Amino acid sequence: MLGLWNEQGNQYEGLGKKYEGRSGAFDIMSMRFTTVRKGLINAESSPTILRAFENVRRAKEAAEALQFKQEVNRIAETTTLDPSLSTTEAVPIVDQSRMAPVVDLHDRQQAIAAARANEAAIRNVEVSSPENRQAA
Amino acid sequence: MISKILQLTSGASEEERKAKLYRDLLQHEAKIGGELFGRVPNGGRREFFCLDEYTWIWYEEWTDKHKQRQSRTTRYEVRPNGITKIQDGERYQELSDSEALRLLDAMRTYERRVGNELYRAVAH
Repeated sequence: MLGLWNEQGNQYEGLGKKYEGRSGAFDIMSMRFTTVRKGLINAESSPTILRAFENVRRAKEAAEALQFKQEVNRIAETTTLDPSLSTTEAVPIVDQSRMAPVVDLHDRQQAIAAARANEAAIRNVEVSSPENRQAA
Repeated sequence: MISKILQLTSGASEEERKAKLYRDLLQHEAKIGGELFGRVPNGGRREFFCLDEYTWIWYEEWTDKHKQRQSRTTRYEVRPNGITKIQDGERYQELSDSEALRLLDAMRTYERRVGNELYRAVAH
C-alpha cells in the first residue's frame, strides 16, 4: 500500500507531499492525472454521450409541451359559456385589453400565465345578443 | 510508516519504483472509483478506474446465493463512433442513454475526487 492510507485505513493522504523530492514521482502522478482528464474529455465528446444528452433534452421538451397542452385543455374545459346562446345569435365579446399579449409558447411559464389571463378574460365575457345589441 | 516505505523502495531500481508507484496510484484510484456507486454489499468488492485515455474499467465481486464467489469485469471503451460496453471480455453492448449519462456522471466525480484526494499536488 506504500503507506498512502492513514491509520484508519480509509483516508487518503497527500500523495504529492509524501513523494515530494523523489525523482520521477511527480511526473508519474502528473501523467496519471492527465490520463484521467483526457479520459473524461474523450468520453464527454463521445457521440454516445452527445446523443444521450440530445435525447434527454428532446424528451424533456416533449414532456413540457405535453404538460402545457394538458394545462391549456384543462383551462378550456373548465371555462364555459352559456350554452343557451347560439353562435349565430350571440357572439361572445372578450375584452381584448384583458387578454394576454402574444407570448413565446416555448416559454412554459409565460405561456401558462397567458393562458390563465385569457381564462380570466373569457370568464368576464360580455354577450352580444340581439336584445343586448338593441338595448345598446 | 513513510520511512519504512522509503526503505522498502530504496533498494528497488528506478524503473521498478516507478512501476510500483504507477500500480499503487491505479489501485488507489480504483478504490476511490469503487465508492462512487453507493454501498458495496457485505463481502463484495468493487473497483472503477480509468485504465487509459480510452478505457474505463468496472470490476465487481460478490458472493451469490449458493455461496459461490462471482465476479464481473465491465470495460467501457471510448471509440470514435461511441462508447462500447464489453462484459467479461465477450459481450459487446451499446449503452442506453441513461447508462451513458450515469457513466459520465461517475467519470466526472472520479476525476474530481482523484484530483482532490490523490493528485492535488500536481492538479492545476
